Amino acid sequence: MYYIAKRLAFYVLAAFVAITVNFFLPRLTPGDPASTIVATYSTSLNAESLAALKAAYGLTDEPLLQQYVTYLGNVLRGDFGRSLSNFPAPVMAVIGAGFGWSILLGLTSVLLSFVLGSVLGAIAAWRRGGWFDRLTPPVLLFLGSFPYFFLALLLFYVFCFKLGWFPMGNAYSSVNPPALNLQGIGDILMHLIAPAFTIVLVSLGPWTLNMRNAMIGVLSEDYLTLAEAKGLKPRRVLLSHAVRTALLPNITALGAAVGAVFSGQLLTEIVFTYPGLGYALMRAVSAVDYPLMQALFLIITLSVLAANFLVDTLYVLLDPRVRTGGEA
Amino acid sequence: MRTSLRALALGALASVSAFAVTAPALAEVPLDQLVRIVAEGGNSFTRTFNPFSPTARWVSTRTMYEPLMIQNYATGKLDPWLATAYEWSADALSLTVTLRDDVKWSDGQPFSADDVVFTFELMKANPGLIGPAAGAFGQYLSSVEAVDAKTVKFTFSSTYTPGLYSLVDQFIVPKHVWKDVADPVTFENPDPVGTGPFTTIDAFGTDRYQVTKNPNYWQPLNIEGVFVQGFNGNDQVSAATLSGNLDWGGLVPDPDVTFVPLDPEHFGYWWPRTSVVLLLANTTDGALGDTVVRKAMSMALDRQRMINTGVWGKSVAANATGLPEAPFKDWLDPKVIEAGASWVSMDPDAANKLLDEAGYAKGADGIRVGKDGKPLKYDIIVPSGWNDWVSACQIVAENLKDIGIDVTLRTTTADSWTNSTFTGQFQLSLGTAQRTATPFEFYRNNMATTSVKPVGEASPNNQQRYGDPKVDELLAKFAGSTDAAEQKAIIAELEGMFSAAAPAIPLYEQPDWGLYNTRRFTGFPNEQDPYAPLSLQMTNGPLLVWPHLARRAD
Repeated sequence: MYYIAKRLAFYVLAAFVAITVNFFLPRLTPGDPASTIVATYSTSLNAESLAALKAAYGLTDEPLLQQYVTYLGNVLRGDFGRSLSNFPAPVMAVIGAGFGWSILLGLTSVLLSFVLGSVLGAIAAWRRGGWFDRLTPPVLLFLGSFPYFFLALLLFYVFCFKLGWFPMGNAYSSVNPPALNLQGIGDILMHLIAPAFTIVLVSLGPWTLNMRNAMIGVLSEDYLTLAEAKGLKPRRVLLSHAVRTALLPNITALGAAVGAVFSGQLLTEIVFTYPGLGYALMRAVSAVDYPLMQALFLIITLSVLAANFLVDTLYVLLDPRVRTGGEA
Repeated sequence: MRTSLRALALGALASVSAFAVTAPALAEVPLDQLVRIVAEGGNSFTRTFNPFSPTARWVSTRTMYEPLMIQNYATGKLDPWLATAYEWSADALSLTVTLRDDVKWSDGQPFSADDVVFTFELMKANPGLIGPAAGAFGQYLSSVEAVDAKTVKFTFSSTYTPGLYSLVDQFIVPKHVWKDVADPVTFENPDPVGTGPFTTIDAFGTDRYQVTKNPNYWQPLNIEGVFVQGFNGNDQVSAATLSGNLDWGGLVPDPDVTFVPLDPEHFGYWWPRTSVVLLLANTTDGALGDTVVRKAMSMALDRQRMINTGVWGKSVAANATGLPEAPFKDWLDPKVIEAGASWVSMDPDAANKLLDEAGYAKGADGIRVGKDGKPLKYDIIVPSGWNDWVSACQIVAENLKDIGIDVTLRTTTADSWTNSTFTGQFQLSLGTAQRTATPFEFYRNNMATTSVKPVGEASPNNQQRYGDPKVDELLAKFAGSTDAAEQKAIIAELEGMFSAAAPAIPLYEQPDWGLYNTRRFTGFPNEQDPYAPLSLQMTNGPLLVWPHLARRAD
């Protein structure tokens, strides 16, 4: 329990630091939102409107420290203000629109690459030295080291544009979200396949390699030799003894991967016009939309922290050394 | 472990079902009845249709709310819209506008002079509201009143006839709705009431929405509405355009090669030129403040190469007045254009000679040295990804090297580029001329002292910081006149002054991108039928187009 409390305190501190960096970082980037807005719409604006606009948007010239205190208060109340690039929509409305889709795409692809990678790694290790083992890791590593944007565009071009197997964008066919019946879910899945598949393709390598290496280590352990000597079926040895143990490092990695869902799939969402938060983030940064940027960075940071905390807690359950000694 | 996986899967499912629960039950107009266009940028839409927001949803000012009159950049005329006529008083201090009779708001209430007065009063009371007439009260307008239900009178505090275009261009909102809005600046306006052709939002998703007919529209319409799609990048827009999934809009590179051949019977484009690309030199920066240097730079430039590489040959070099030809053909003085032709044509030898004679001798490294002893070394800044401009800047840098001026190309983010140019903290950059009804704004924005802001202070125009008091006088004379012949003479004089001083270096005319696909809808403007601009980006332009479109009979 002491261990968890200690970790929790650490995460609260980390969150505070993150919130602070979150406030100052966008303000250090060059550019000023009001000028940007004027520039984009300069045909309908004049210089005189600039001051009025700044005031209306709440872009004050107060000292940074004072702004920081106001910001902290607002964050505690869950008030992120109005998005400048989607004015006058509140930041939470912009985020609400994409949040669920980012989670759906992110979790689907992370879980798929985790499961697929672990299975492939296990098979490769079990048949160590065979053609499958010799072929799989290099191919996957090659795919993973490909420039991602290019690979995604290539897949978009071939499968969505040329062959027309998958839709060229969006998360579902209708304009209003579909009903959650068989047809609606099928439609959502159809739109999910291409973007999720590209993420799985490039991220499969590490999962497979880690699993393979862990398995090889486990397979040389005495208790497996004993299990085999006992006369257990190889299938049983593989599944209930080797895989279960070898899976532990990948589960740790799963925590980190789940935490990185929002930040990790920006390019996918852009290439496949998937309505997640990736594009919102890019737009927020290019439009110097402080309020939206801050809220998005906060979500990213907090989800990474939360996932890590989850893994930390899981460790207590999985690793007896942590429970007794407090050292991971 | 197994349970945690299940929890994650459930979480994913729950996040989807959250959407289904909030989905409003609306009868969507079938997609094949709607004109499909590209949205203003990206996805993640929110249901906000406040037309006064500088980042207003595209449809707000192109389908929902309408102005009194529309400046038609394709024909150069002021087309009557919610108003049918205007008249100046003899002293040009008041402007009387007559409203159309048969107009109703989309909720059935009659449109009247009260709505027009209310809109202007609303903007006066809330400076954060953005629109064509924002700032009018501060500059020249003193009051707006309803003479009767169909007549509005604008009273001016000082003569300013170009104000006409800003006033009649202002979109009008209904008083009976907006009078109850607590804060019009932050009002989200999710269910708009307007006079425009399409005001009903019958379907709204995070990355697409559709807006359908205003049941009370004052003109006959042959289409049901528009389907607005969000795309996350140019590649995605191109893919949708080339596969025929868009009816209107989009930009594809070199359409004669990539687009039209795919379906020559239905695919078309029209790029009228209503603006000019300018090379801007910061006149507060040493030698760049010298007219001779700017003219020599201009003479070193290969404009045809910029046109060929940047816009696939679909433009012409700009003339010495800085004005685009098509929209201002009645204003251009052929004598100025002829006399100034030499400084906007490529002649590096003459440019070198000019600089030699003016005392900008070359240093040991071949770079000329300014009168302050500093070598003529400059950075030219351009946003990365603006491909036509990046290639133009590359050519500028190459060409200027030939006359001993060392220019380095620096690409930046669009945002930091904007900030640098607006605040005058740059050396060389590109800019465009605003689309306006008369050349008045072009000369005010490029050479009037009134448009010069100190370096460090942001200004959307006169980024080169060039001001001449004589220009102010001429502009004031123009603004005080309602006589077309007098105004024309003043503009001719300003054209001459522009050509003499070169406050900005005209490069080539800027095409307005626009493509159409007539597989499903016909009636788009084009070269043969130039009744309106084709560009979706032009404020109010699409309003001119909707009544001309019709569903193709199958």
